[in-house]
Amino acid sequence: MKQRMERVTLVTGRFGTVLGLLVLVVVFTVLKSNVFPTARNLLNILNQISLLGVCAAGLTICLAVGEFDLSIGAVATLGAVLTAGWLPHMPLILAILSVLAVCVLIGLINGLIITTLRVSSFMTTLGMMTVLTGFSYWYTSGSGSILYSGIPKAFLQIGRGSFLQIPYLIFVMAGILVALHMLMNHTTTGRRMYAVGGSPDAARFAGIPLRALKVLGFALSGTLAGLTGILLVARLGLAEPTIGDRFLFDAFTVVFLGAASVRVGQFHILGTLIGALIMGTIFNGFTLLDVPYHLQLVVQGAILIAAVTSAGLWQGLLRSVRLRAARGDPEQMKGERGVD
Amino acid sequence: MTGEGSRALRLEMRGITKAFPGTVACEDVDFDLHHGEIHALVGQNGAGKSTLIKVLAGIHSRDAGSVLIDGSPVDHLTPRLAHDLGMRFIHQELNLVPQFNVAENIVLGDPYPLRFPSRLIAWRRLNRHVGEILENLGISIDPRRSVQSLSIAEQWMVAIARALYSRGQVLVMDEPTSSLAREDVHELFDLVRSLAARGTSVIYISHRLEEIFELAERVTVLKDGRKVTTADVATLSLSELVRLMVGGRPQELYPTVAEDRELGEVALEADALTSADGRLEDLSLRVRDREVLGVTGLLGAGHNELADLLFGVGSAVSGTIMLDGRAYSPSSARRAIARGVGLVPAERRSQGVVGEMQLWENIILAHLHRFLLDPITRIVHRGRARKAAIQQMRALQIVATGPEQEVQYLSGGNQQKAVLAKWLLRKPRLLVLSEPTRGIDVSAKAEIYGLVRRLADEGSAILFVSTEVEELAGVCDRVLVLRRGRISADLPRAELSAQRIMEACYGG
Repeated sequence: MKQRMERVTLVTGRFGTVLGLLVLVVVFTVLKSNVFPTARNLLNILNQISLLGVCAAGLTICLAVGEFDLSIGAVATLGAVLTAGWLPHMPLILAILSVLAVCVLIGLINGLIITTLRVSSFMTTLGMMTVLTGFSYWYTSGSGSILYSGIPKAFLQIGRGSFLQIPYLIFVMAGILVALHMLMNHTTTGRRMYAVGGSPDAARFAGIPLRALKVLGFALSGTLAGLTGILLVARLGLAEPTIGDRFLFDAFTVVFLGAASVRVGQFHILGTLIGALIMGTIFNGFTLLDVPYHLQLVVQGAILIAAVTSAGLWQGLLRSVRLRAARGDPEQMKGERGVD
Repeated sequence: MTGEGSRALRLEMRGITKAFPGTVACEDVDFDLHHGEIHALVGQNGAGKSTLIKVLAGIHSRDAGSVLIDGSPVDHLTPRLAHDLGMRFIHQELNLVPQFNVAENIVLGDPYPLRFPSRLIAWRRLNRHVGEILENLGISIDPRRSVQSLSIAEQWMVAIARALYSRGQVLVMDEPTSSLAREDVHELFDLVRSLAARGTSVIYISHRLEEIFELAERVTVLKDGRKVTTADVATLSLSELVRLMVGGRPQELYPTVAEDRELGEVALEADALTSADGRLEDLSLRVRDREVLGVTGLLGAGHNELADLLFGVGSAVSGTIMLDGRAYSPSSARRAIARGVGLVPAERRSQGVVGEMQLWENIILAHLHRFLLDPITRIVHRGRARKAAIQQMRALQIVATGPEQEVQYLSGGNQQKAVLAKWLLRKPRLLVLSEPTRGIDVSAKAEIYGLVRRLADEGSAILFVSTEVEELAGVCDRVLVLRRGRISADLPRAELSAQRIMEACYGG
């Protein structure tokens, strides 16, 4: 009996967060049945999380390769500020590419410092975050801290327009999520990045270039954070030096929620999407219900703690089930398959 | 290509010497390996086996000697070069990626099969390919299974499969079976034998001598960095092999122990102890006052876990312990200390002393509460504490520039004396020592043995956990030998010799 309960827990535990999401949807549907479950509102949710999704996707890769990037918020801010600053003076494409180039460079610098100088990623990206934040403040100080003039209408269309009723930003997020999912799960590079994150020793002895892949991880998280900043300007039409701040906390929350879902213990794109949907749904539903923002934060934090704790418990349960199987408990051996 | 009737040499190592500051790990060691041979490498801890292997792996550069692979000399061996020349090393940690399945682990480092235009991984082809290889090797594991769900024996087989997939020709297996049950080992051995039959050469390092007799053709014995002999396994018996490993060693190192010493009352009595992680099973023992009880066993036998458990680290799942007739179930080191139990841990630098703290601070560390100004502010009375520490320093003759010297700058022997001083500050009821003379020079060892005997004579009960059979024979009144978590032998003083203890470890 106990073993059956364990098996059920192991199989369903993986989908706990998805279940949570469905519960939220049901609850909000019931409470606000005339507004919440409409196509318009659901698209609203997706639109809300699109930028967070982009930023978190990049972070997912970095975490998958075993490193922390705390600079993503500041890079997003930098991206926004530079975009707003350069757009009035350059052709659109050139401005966007230049901003992306800068952000790739920042990612590379992070990666090189961490892999060649062997400094912890935590400290390095923390330092980079501070440097970039200072720069953003300086850059916007001349214009009274907000840049908003001279942004071409065409650019704003990206952030506010839609195709077949679906906002462009949703397409951007979807495209990036799909591309990164393919990278991490179906290409040699992606699988090797997971190897590096999963067991650096095994990767090293197998001849996999750890340094190069870690640098790639940082480059990706930096680039996508920068893209987030660019899209922020497209959506809001302005940039100021705190504009990207919340992405740091939100992206980490979302990626860790993802690591507690479906593939428990692994950072993966699908999980990140689930995490983002949970956050977006909470925000949307609570707003419709006029719940004050601070309460949303409390709930968001509580869900993160609950998800991570249950993920830990799930992994512990899996380990003890496997330990028993390895000792030759014949009942256990039968149960193995369903859990893989 | 094998010649008619004789097998060509796959590997030759001649006169390998490697020294580190303070010690010569390998001296003039020869080792050779034929095509398709299974050659065992044995020796006690510190005999030089892992250094020899690391030289072969290109991790250490040899000071002298030559390495020939397939007849050609190799001058500067690097890990990359060793890999390219077909050397594959499988360590105890196995180095598999836990999140991956069997197929991806086997292919790790080699290219994945890709789909034509998209260059995405062709999973089905991968699984099929790996499945064929596994079948070829006689391993019946589904390549799609996650490696974490495999037993250790199966994980070893995956590691071997990976070594072969990447065109390995010499397989070095380091302690493959120390965590395996006897039954699991058979499948693994069948695999190794079939590999050898097909021409792969295997260097097999293990402490489990019975397996060497089962699997290997030749065995090379190392002792104190030198090669003792290389012999055909068929010509040796277990006790002969043990004798070659242990040798004879002069005994002046050890204080004389009177044959008919009076022992005191039973200090500690453990009954049917079983630990949560399965390392100890139904273990029962008794230690008396004034007794030095030795505990030993092979890797994984449970002796280290016993030491930890008695000190409050690790937990017993069932069984009882009585200390001084009262129940004793320490859930933390603090509880253990409160009952008068001390532990001299095996990892001196990380568990025994706080390197950056001063000598006197380390000595008073376990008994700070005795030097408090008052129980409320909990400020330590420096003067009193320092005086007590200095007293210990003199009693144990710890060599240092002064009580203020940071312990990390003391020699290993003096550091260990500091650890002992820590427990001697208040006479311990039971002192557990775990590998107490590891990494310590001979004269310091003699001093420590003397201290241990003196402590016993003064009334403490001592549990001496060690894998150095010579010191067990020299210092203890009695030795318990553990095998797989249970007591397999209880040797009284009259029977104590390095040879006998070692044999008992191997089940002889």
